[in-house]
Amino acid sequence: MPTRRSLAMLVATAIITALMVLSIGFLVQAYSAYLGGEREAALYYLMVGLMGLALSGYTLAQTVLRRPKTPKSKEYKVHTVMHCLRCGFRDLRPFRRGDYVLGPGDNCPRCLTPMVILAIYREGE
Amino acid sequence: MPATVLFSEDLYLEGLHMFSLEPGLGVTLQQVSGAGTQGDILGLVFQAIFIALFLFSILYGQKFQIWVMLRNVEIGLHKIKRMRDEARQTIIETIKVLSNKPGLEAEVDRLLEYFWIEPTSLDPFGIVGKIEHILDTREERLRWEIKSLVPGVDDARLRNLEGLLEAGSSLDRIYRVIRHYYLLGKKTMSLFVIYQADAILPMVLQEAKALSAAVKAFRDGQPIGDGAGSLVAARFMYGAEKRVIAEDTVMAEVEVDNRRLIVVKALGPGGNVGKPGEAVEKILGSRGDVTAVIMVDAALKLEGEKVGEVAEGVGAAIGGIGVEKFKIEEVAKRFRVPLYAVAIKESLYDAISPMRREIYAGVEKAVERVRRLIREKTKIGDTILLAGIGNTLGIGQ
Repeated sequence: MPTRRSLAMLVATAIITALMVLSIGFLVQAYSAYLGGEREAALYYLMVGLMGLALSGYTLAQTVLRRPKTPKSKEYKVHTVMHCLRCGFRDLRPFRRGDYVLGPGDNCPRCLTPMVILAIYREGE
Repeated sequence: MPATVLFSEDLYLEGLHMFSLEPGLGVTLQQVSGAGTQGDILGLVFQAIFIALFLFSILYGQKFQIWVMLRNVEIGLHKIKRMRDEARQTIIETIKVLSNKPGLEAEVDRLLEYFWIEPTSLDPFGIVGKIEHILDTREERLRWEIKSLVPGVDDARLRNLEGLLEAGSSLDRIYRVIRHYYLLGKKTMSLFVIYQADAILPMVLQEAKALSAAVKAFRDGQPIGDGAGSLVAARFMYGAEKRVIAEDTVMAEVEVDNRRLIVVKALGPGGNVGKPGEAVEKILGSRGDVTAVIMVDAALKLEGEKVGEVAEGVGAAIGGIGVEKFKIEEVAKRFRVPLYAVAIKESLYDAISPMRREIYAGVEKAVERVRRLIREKTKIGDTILLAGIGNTLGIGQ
């Protein structure tokens, strides 16, 4: 029901905007009172103005302006650990499609025999 | 309010006291209204605002609360929709690489909506067999559908595509359920409907994120956290002769510390969980010399526990709907064989996203625990059954 939703949104925005304008008005009053030497009155106006501004700002941010963020799909850094069964050499490289644990890995740079993939894991949470 | 008429701004600024106007009246009005200074006028303003807020909270407080919660659910729903769309796109792209069948998108949408109906539990006798039968039919049907989409696909890739579709289907179902509650709440404006949807949303979002990560793991064939138990078994059976003992399940016999160890795991490296229950049933039923069953599986950790922590216990360490667990417990009881469990702890997100380094470290620890368990709980010459439970995606043997 987009019409009903937009009407509710409009009413809410109007109320919040009115509260915000009123709060700004109070802040201006606070400034005038301060210039007039009325510190106590200025303090009251300031309090009301700030409270109204905080309340309207928070409500506006939480409801009307709040838009769903595009969720970032995590792309992990996945590593493949290879182990040479002959000389014990271990190597780590980024994961490639087709790699699987206990499957054949690259050739050992030391003894040139095919290594075994010992583990495939990702770093970080 | 007469006081506000009497105490004009000008009078106040000039510093005139109210008594100088009309002493008797002034005192009376001041006493009645309490508005003697500008601060008092502010007091009235404060009171007016307070009353207005009070009335608003009584008359519209709940509506406002409903509106805020509904907005929260709407935002969550939007996030889930994005994840679902992304998963759908990944599935289509993955299948498109392997097949150029026309109408692929419609076919994928149809498969994403595939469902299964749980058998009635009004008479619970024999329900495990009924569930197994329905799940087997579902699996068979899904595999047939994938094969018709991608003719000639190899077994490992078929299992990965199956997992990919399962993850996409789960995301689709989550989206539909949350959308249902959102629209129902919006239609009825019922606080309780909206409240329930809002309350479970953080957990649902967590699950959706995990499934989103699972889609990528199945696309690339990367081992997931759930495969920890399977990896432990694979480490024991590496190099030994293997044979298929049940559907998608392999076994091998090796010697560990002068004991005979029968190792069982799902057939990898495709995304499989196999039928460990059936395998254990067959092994215990066919040989009478098994003195202990050790099961290794990934277990959901509680908040505050470390990922990759290893814990020991007794019982059938296996998750899922319960069909395999039921079979293992039954056969262990029948042959009076003790069930030992080793669990590698992880969160739900870790379980279905690419395996974390900490979980791999947990696997190393679990291998040592199994060896210790074998030494401590069995004698030389004994036969022990080790079952590595979990999805064996990206894990060979």
